[in-house]
Amino acid sequence: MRSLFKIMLCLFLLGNFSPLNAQVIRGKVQAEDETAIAFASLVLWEENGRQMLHFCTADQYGNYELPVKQLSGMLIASSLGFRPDTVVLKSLPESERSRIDFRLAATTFELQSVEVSDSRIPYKVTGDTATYQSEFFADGSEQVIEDLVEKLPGTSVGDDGTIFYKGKQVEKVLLENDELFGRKYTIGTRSLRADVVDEIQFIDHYVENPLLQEVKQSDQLVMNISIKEDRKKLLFGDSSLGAGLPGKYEAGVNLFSLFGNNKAVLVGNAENTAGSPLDMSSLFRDGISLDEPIAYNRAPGFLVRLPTYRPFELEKAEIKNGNIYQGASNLVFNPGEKLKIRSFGLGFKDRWDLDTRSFFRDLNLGNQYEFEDRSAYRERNRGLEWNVEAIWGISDDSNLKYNFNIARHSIAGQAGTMVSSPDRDTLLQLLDNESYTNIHRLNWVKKLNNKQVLVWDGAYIHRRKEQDFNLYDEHQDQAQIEQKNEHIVKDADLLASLLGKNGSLKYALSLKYRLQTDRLEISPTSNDLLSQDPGFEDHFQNDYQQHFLALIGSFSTQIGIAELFSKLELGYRNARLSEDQVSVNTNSAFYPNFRSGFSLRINKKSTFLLSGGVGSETPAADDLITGPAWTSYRSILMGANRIAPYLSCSGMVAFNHSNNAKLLELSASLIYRNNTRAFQDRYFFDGLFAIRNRQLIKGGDLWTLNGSLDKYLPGLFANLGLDLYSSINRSLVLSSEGLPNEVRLRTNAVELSYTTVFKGPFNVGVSGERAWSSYRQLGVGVSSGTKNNRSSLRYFFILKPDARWYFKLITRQIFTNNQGQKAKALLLGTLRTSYQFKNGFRAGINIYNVWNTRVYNLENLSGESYSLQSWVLNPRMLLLNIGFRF
Amino acid sequence: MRETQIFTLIALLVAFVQPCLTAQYTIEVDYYKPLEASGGGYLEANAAYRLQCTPLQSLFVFLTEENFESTSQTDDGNYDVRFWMGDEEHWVYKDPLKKELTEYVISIQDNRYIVTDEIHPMHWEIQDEQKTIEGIPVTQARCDHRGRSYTAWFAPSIPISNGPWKLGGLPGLILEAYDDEKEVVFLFKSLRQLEGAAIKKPKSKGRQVSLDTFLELSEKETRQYFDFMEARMRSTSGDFDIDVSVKYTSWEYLK
Repeated sequence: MRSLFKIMLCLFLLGNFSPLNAQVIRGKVQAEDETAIAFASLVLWEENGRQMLHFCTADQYGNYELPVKQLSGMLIASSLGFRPDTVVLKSLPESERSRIDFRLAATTFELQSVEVSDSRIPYKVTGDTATYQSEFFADGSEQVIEDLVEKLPGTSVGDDGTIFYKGKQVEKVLLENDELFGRKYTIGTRSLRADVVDEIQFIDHYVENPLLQEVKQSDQLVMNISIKEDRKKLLFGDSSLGAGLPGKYEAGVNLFSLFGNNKAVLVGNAENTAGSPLDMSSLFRDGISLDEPIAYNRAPGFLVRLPTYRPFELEKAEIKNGNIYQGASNLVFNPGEKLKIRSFGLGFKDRWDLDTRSFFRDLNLGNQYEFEDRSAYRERNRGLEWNVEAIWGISDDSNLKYNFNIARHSIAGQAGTMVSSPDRDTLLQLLDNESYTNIHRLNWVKKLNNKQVLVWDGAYIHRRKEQDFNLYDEHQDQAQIEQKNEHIVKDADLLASLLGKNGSLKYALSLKYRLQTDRLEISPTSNDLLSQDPGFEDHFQNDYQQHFLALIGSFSTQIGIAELFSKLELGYRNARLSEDQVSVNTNSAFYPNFRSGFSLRINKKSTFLLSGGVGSETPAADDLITGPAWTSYRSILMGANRIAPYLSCSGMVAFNHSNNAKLLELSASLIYRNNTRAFQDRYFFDGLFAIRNRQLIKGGDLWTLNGSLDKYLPGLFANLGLDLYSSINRSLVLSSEGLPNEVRLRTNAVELSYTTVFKGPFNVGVSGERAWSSYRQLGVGVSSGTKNNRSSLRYFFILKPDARWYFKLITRQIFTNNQGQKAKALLLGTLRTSYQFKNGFRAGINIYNVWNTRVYNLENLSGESYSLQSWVLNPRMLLLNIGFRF
Repeated sequence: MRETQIFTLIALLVAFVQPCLTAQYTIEVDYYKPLEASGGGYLEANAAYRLQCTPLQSLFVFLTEENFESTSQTDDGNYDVRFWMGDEEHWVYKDPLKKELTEYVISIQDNRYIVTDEIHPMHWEIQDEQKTIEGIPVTQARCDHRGRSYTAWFAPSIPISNGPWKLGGLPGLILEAYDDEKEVVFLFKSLRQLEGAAIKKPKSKGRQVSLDTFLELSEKETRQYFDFMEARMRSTSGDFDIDVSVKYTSWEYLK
């Protein structure tokens, strides 16, 4: 009896789940005169006609057998010279669905001859433009443009979405030859679907203004995206909605519109998972669209900052836990042939709650001092920016461009600190930052003749930053420290340039004038701990004004395989500082600035570049060791109240080899920078918090060596990448006693990656990185140093068994060793799954922080001091998502 | 006895059912393949192919007869040389009525082979992807066949189950096809309808072999040829160090 039951069960299972359940439609295809039609095509479509389900070919006698899963849909029989016939299976009685005969009426078959005018090849180069046909490089697992771009030979994408082509940064991304995304192109590259892309072009030496194309020495690289003809629609895009545990949600919409010459994009999302690849808050930092009006513009800065809230190993999605609302809307509108209007706008509102704890004990010199920060750090971040451009073609040889930009940004931060010893106390830090910017710029281009163009440029820039910093003690009712800062910078710029071309020689001659006024006010309270820093109180309120006049000449020319370029700037500056009713004539001097070099195009694949420059007083920000653009005259004034001429120099040797046919990319560069006068961040540790300021240092130099290899291995269906980095940064710092200290920072890093890019159902990738750094300070008779190292391992796994299913698992592990002390290994991961339905809908499950060590510790040990910082990571989040593509 | 009667009946039925041969239309499609240059980019010339087909037979001809050579020096001082061997006579004839596919090819050592094969044994999977090629809507299909993964774009509006070279078996004419390695590539060049053209199997003569045998012979002949060339270069190169490494690839792999 038991055996019988088993047999019946087997039969039951076979009957229900085996392929024997598949059905067959049989029949015959004949002409009206009942002669058989040989080799007719039979295709079973979905009833809505969107999707082919099954197909077969009739035999030479017109008989066919079509295995199908279900007896439903629309069966079409067709053959050359006959009118196709269609049968909707549902219209037939069920008993007649498995036997369907066709009689096709003869018709005249007329095929319209076509011939392609342009050969479609996977990759081609024409002048400065490289064109990739997307279909040759896509494997169907790409969600957005960025995923596709990563697969093109010679390209790479940074964590922040910056695209590099042959080692050079892509500055703009165009859609159908129009600048729709502005400089912050991740709005497009992280939201536009990859499957609508027809071609991707990289255009080097790009110049948008047609009047300047022949004469301008441009080094700008842009990427242009062409959309498939059948996808150019009034509205296309996708949207998604997700909800899950614990109390998590995410929703997003990406809309694109192409209507005639006009284009629009609208993207937005709301979430509390930090899972969106778009980060408007970081996009906001440098403005979304406006090209820098004229060099040397600078923004005012904040003086007080709360401590850095996260170590560099952690990504914001792993530790920040709050609501995000963000959106961007861009539009290119062509009301007439001669007028083009572009509008870019973005806005965001973040609320971050960051759970972090730190513990610090300083036993040096018998301090016996320790404190513990146990409160959550909270941040409110809001921003709004709108930029509008109007480009008017006055005539065939003249055009005018007007820019208007307005932006507002506010950050409110809050951090609590509990002091454990010697007295138990709780301090609360509150920081409110507000910034406002508005910029007007007018640019007029006039073509004088076929070889020369005149450009007039004028800009007015107004930037203001306000800051309110409060430090409260729980034992006192009022703020212990209340400090208000206001920093206003106004620039008025005028620039006249003559650009010309003679043969391969391109030249430019410019005259530039700038009036800059700068007002800084700081209002400290009576409880003035800041005054412990000697010299700081001198500049709590001052006004600064400079007139700046410069003559600039530059040229580039091609001699054989070499391209020479050179730029010489001769400037005169008069700067005046007013401080407490005292006017100080800070500087009135001429200065030179010179840069020259050449690039050698050894052959079509290899380029060699050598360049160097010497500058006086105002080297470009990149040439300074310590970086950010707001290292400025103001900083110099803060340090010394006067400006002394100084020199800086830099040099670069670079080699690039790019062989697309062999799918090989190789580059190496050596950069040297030196300046005899530079600045570094200095923290004035005032009790419990740090006030950051710039400190004048005497000089320093920086050597950087970079090497990278990228090779596609067809045999392994994989891309192999190797990156090497090495740098030595040497700074000479003046100590508070005026004695020189030498600080040496050495960093070495190696990264190896292996990523499969084949078209099968699996894709895997693994990359490992190892970095070593050492910090050594050499004083007079004193030397101290620390060593750190860090290893990280990232791996991903993609499974795409067919066009509908998609699984992606990304995990990473981090092992940190600081000064011989191991931090906990960190293991994080995200799993994304989706199923694409036939009608454009998709559904899926996302799990963030699949594995999560929950707490990340970072320990530091220096002498008898000890500190421990720990971040409570975001919990595991499980979300059910639905989306729609149209 | 009963079985014999049934067999006889079926045989008679088959004998009396004639396929419809009246509606004969011939379509001609030209394809091309960009030729990779040594050291990057592509040659200006393309390899050209032509398919002429009706529902009942087809002839696919390799049109490019001339040889191309591309040489570049690698970073380590070696030379990378690429040869594109043109085809003096190379065609593929398909006869669905006889279920025969015949390929005629002249090998690198000038031996002539007639290779017999099956018609369209590949198992295609139709994908969701659709696009247009010069205004003709096409649908994507993929298959793994004899060591390569192919993508084909076929036109359901041209109901001929055929395509370039040995590819076919889809419910529409294949206008574009390539494998994942981009070694077997047929890109669309032109399409036209021929009036009254008849397709005939060329009467070329050669040794009749199976595909298996041909692939073995082809590889052997190629390797022999380059061994010979290397030996010849060594004997005439004096003190130069000659080291030739040959990468042999085939459009088809049976094992």
